[in-house]
Amino acid sequence: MKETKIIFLYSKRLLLREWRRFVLPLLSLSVTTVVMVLVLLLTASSSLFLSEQARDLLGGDVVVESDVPFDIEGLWSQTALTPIRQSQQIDFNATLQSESGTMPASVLVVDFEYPLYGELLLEEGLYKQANENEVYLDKAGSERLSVKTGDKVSFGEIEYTVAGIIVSEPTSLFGGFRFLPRVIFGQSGFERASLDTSLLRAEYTYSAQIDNLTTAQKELLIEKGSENDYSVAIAGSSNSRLQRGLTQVSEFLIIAVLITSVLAAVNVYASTLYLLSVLRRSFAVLLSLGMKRTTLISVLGLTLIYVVILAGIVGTVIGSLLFSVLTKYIDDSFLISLPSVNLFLYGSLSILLIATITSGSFIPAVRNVFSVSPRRVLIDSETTDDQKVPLKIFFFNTISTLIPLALLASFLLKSVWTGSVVILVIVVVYVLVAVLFYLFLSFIYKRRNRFSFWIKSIIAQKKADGLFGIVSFTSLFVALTALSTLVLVQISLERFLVNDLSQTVPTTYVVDIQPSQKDAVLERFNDLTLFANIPSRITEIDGKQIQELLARGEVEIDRELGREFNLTFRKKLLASETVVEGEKEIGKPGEISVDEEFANRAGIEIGSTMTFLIQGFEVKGIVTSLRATDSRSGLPFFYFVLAPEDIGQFPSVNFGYAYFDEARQSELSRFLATNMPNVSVIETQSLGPILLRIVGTLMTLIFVIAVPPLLIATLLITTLVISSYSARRREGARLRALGATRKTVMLQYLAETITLTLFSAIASYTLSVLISFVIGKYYLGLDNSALYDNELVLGLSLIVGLIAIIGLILFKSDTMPLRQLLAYEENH
Amino acid sequence: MISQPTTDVKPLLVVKEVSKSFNTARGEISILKNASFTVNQGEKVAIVGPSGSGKSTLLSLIGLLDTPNQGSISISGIETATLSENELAVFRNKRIGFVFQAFELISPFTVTENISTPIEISKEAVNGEVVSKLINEVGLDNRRDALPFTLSGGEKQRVAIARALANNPDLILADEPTGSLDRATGEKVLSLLLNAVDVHGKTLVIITHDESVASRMDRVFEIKNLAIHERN
Repeated sequence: MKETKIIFLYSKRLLLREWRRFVLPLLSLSVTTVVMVLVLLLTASSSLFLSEQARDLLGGDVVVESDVPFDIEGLWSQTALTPIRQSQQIDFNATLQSESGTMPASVLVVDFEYPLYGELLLEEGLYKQANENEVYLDKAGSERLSVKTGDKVSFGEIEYTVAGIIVSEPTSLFGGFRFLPRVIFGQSGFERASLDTSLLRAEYTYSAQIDNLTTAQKELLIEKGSENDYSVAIAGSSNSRLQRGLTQVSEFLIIAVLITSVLAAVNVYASTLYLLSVLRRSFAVLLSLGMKRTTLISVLGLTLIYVVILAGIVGTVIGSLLFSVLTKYIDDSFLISLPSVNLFLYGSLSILLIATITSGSFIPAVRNVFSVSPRRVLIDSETTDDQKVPLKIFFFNTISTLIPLALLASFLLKSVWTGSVVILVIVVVYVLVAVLFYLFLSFIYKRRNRFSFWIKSIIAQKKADGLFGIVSFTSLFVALTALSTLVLVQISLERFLVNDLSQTVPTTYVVDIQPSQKDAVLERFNDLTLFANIPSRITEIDGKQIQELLARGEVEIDRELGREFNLTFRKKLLASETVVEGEKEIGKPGEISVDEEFANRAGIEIGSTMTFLIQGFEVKGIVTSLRATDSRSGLPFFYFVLAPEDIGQFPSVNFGYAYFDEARQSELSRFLATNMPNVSVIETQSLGPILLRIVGTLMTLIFVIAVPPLLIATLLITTLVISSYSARRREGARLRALGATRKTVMLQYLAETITLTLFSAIASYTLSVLISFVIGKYYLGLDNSALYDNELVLGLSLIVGLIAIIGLILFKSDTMPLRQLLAYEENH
Repeated sequence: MISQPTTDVKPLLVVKEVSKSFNTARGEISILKNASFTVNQGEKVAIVGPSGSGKSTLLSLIGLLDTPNQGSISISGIETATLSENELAVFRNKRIGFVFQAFELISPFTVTENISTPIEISKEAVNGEVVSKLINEVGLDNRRDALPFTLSGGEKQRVAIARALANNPDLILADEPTGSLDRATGEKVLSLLLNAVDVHGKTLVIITHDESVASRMDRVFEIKNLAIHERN
């Protein structure tokens, strides 16, 4: 028979006769393919969507934003551009009211050209143009004011009719995410309110439709924007916040795929090695009958190729179906139609990547085949127990498995360096956990005689599981720890937002009280604490001209120093503040008190000199104190506090807070909504649910991503359970021959089976409690961290239960008589 | 040398009219029919026969690893058919010691632990001196902490012999104990087994197809055409 025919014939036989042994590698490879296909398709589709929709999301080909009205025509003439169409919008916060209540809102005033691109979708259909008596609210706003289309709302003392409920805005991805409800007025409607625009802290946006912008024109626009102190955004620019955000999400997804890939590789590696160890005798016979080693490797390789192709097809089909379901869901829920991408291309790419991982895992198997000695196996009766892996081979195996993974990571992350580092970090975590587990196992193995016979047996068995057992434990441990930590951190955050925060945070914040309004507000509400906000820029620190250095691209200067800062003045510390260095009293003329963390970052020390530019005037001072602020208090936070004598004369907007009961809060809201609609009142009890929703959404995303590695790790443990059963059944038979009952042997097998899972569940839970405590305490600044969660414990118990059930089914379904289990002919 | 049973010794193993058959895809296959024989206390008995004649089946029946379709087996005066599965397990543990052709050592256990296993299963305290003495008897003093995969075939079988004696059973059953060993090693292991059986005053039933092994027993039974006959 021709060699090729032998390879095909034997690989077919191997796959058909030993198909059970290929089920788990097939499953883990399929899951990996599903995740990979999904991530690749989503990333590709979203990128395409963004590049197609960039101007829709931005609102124009060129969008200019400034916090003061400015001459847009001047910019067009400076840059020699002629927009085809242009639109102007004003964005500010204000308070609206209806018969049933008041509401702080994010107000958008639009002109007749709005929107230049995209659609403003209402529950009633597409938005056309708002007339002077109309206003549009989003769903949150309509619920808050208890109004529907056709009802009346007031802005100041003027009444408007709700003309529609906003479903989605053209410039928001996934429906937008803002703290305050959205309200849209037409320009004429806004003018009817006769609001003094100088009282508003507004953002002025100019969107323009300009075709075929050249790179030079784009650069000129950005340069002019920088010169004139307003921001210029150009559609399709890679620096857009959305695209940067998407890149970060993709990278996060890719890292999740890599972790899954590492687990899949380990699974394939372990399954292949197990397969080889049980088939070692058959391989030795084939070799002794004259089969070449290369032929044997080809047989094994071809069998794995079948598995890869099957997993690739299954994974690609399921991944593509999931992608279709997901895009439909996004379309239905967020009204975003993700464009279709080339399924064949990304499916093939995924299969190629899976094949790369498998080939990495296959190299150790090749070495294993080369180490089969027919004489040792067949003549000297070498058993499968004889396989001690020399360190050199283990090292080689590990490296050969990691190289394809590093290549995969480099490809996905588009950087060899980043890819290698990511894989290295994952591996270091694994190795660390594995070494600790090995040391622990060795420690109790040496002391096993202190335990009862059955516990001793379990310890000895775990030791005998060797590398396979360690890898299985490590994989499950890492996956469970990650998942448990996420859950516990989420619960800690939720508790903080729901319980702790409400105890310390003021009940009410008041934003944007203008100097002319301050006295009137305080006269009526003298229990309101107000702080002046004076916008400024830092021009000099210790003689360094900060803005100039930043403009020159000086890398040593923190980029944040370039932005606008709000200064305040007062002579007393707040309850949330403590002076950690320098003078205890603040607010003396010529002195500045700086936030400690900011000072450390910006290189500011006690005695440093600083110069601020406020509305064209320079204000100088010496840093005399560094303050630490408890951010959890909910009290206002300022980087810089100066003396009233130094900056009190500058016009400022005021920010305030109060601890009001419901009646007083309502009184304040009504007063401001009627007399000062430009001022927003934020009730903190409404912030909790919004924050919870944000945290919940993020955590769900992370949770969904963390599930595939967990699934694969559980599959790995299942592989161990199933593969170890065939070895254990004979040992069980030996114990029964020596007098152990079937029930005892079954209980011991189950105990052995679930020990690994139970131990990793307990250890990972313990570690995750520790990690979430550290994250909560030192990173999130929470006083109380969650230590227990019913659902998490139930989830972990289910995994342990699943493994126990698999073990029980295996044991119960094994009806081979004891005589046959111990028969020499049956087993050799 | 073949010796006849003496009248002053009590029978230890009584096999009466035992038949065994298996249901297979090709129908029922009979392995043994109406097999009857008796082995007295302290005797060494060989059961011989060609491959597939039912030697190992008979050993599993005597060793209570399987049950006959018909007939009875009593050991030390106890009728085994009346015992439940758990009682059979306890009986095997206390009264029978096995030596298998493939050694059947527990792979993650050391030599000492393997030998102690029957005692530990019986939930009795392991007497370190007894185990040490057994290890010493089989000549494995310097390998007491070794794991099975580091032992040679001869050493593994010595461990199996020591393990068979560990619980001081009445009956030792050996299934081709030298079958996996070379002639020289096999000879040494057999001598060790026979010597141990003599020293401890045990009864031995050995399955073999090696005539030189059979010739060293007190009596030899031969299985032929589903029946068992004692050789004269």
